[in-house]
Amino acid sequence: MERDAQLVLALPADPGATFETFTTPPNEAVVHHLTALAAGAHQGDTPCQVLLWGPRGTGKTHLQQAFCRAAAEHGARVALVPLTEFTQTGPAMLEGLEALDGLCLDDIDAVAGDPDWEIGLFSLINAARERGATLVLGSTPPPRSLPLRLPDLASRLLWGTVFGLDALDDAGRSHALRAHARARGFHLPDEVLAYLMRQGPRDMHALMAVLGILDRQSLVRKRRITVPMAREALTRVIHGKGREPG
Amino acid sequence: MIWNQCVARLERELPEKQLNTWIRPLQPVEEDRVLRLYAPNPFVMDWVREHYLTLISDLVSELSGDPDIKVELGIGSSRASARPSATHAKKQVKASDTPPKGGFSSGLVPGYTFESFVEGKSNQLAHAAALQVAANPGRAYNPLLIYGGVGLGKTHLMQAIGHRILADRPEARVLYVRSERFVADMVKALQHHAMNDFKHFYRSIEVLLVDDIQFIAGKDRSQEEFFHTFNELLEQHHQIVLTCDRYPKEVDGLEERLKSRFSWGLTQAIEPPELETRVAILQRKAQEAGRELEIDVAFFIGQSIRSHVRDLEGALNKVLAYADFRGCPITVEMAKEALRDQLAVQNKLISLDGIQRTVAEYYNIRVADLLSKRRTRSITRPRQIAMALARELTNHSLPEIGDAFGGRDHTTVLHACERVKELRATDHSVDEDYTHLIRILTS
Repeated sequence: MERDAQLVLALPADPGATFETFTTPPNEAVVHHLTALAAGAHQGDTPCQVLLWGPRGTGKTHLQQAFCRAAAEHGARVALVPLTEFTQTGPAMLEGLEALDGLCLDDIDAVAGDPDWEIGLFSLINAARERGATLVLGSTPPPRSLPLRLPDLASRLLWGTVFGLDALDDAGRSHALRAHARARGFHLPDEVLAYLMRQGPRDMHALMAVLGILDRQSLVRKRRITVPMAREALTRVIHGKGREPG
Repeated sequence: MIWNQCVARLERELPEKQLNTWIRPLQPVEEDRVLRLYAPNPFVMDWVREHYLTLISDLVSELSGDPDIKVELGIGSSRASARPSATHAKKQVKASDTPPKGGFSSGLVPGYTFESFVEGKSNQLAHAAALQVAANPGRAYNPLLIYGGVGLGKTHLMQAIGHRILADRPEARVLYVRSERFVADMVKALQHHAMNDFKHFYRSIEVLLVDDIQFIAGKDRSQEEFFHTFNELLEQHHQIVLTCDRYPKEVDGLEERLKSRFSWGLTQAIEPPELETRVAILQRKAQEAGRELEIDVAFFIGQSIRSHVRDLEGALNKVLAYADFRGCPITVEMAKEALRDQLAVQNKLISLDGIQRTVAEYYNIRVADLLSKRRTRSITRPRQIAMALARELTNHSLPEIGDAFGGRDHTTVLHACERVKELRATDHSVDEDYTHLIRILTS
């Protein structure tokens, strides 16, 4: 197992979030919209704002990562700030970010209700708009339900285009898993997919963790993926051992 | 470019999350065996220094084949600054060695002009005052203070004044600044011992437009400085325009002497747009985006979104995004589908229950009082207002509303609605409470 783990670390990780691996039918409009914004972000002359909301596992972070990747490929200077990870440090992280061409602020709900953060976000949105930066915001609850103190911020969150992301049903989850497996360069056999749909968690984060383990296992063992391998991966994820690094 | 190769390698070596937060925001400048990486702020710079600088330096040496190439970190950006301040300009030069282009900048956003402003009953007085000020700066009303809720067009009117004055006299020193920026600039000036530059800069402005002045409340030193700037500009007959989210006398933490100064000129309210204006705004915005919006679709959106203009703009953007994606004409059906989640949330939020809770909280009474048989004025007034709000904001029938208020008859509800209408016309405080409650419930 030790040796196995070391080998795994040396192997290429997740190929990354792209718009191509996010082609599930209910959310095509948002992908279409973000793709266009990512292509134009480096010009930095028209202010654009999108807010994505939806429960955990609906792909908010994935879409923001895909936006960053696509915009960076077009030569834009971008950043994604997951606000959950900065709640302790205060809004100093937001300073000067309006100078970027494209900016994603994820988990707005993590700082809603905190006066300093709200002023920080409010000022950043104003400054980004004045400079023509593209903003993509992520929130679990819909923007109108955020417990904000500052009405000025609340109204600004509704300014751009708001997309509620639909949680995927079984068909959508299968579709997404296949697309991700393809992007990682391996084939997910039908019986394994059926097994995961039957026995696996419904949460996309956990399913993706299973997929990550299967990808590495198939490379280490140089074998096609089987149901027993999936069962083992599932157990590891359920017992909290299958988290991806970082 | 060596940095691009370096990022390509980091893409393989670092998790995407780290890449997006710390590496992609860096801006490279390569010169003479030095790769300078500019971070947007000190926080990012320190983090990168601590966690990635060694890795980056090694990669750069390896990729360039030059072991002596140096990687340095700094703060800044080579994009032109939109912030027009003396201290900021200084910092910008120091940080990135690239001076801001063009010197003085008004800070006005293109497009916020009188031509693109949609006038309606709710804003006509403020609009007329703004036109007057633009035609006679420093003479008509000084200061002009426009107040009202969020997203009703205060900033637009204020900037329109600036644009019109600049169109008439391009050399005029017009400055648009948000009050938080004024405060931040002052703090920076204090830190850099540049208060004289700061004072000189703000006191040399001919038309000073300060947005959302309420944010200066509670900041004593800034208020003091603003007070002196204000006096000096007024003495020189330079124009001052301010906006505030409420009647300035009601802003807590704002010094009395400032409140009194603000009322020297003209204080003008701007109200939420009524339906016809909302429809006109939607059609204008669609036109600006190069699209045609049929009147029935505009009415549908205007009726569904009742709070403020930003909300309307957001809804329109969503409908346009759907139309783009589908490649089909914009119809009411399509708009309904595009706004499905938004409307569901809005309808869910404005429930009878929600109205009762909000009104009870607003008047500091209990929901049970609203539903009780008590007939003291401190209870009946809020009860009538809550019923009128239920009538206006929900689709419930009069008997349903009566039922929800402790099993009252529908004629009682009707009477309450009429009574509130009368009171709003005669009693300013009732009207203000009502408007305020609508704003709370719909924003």
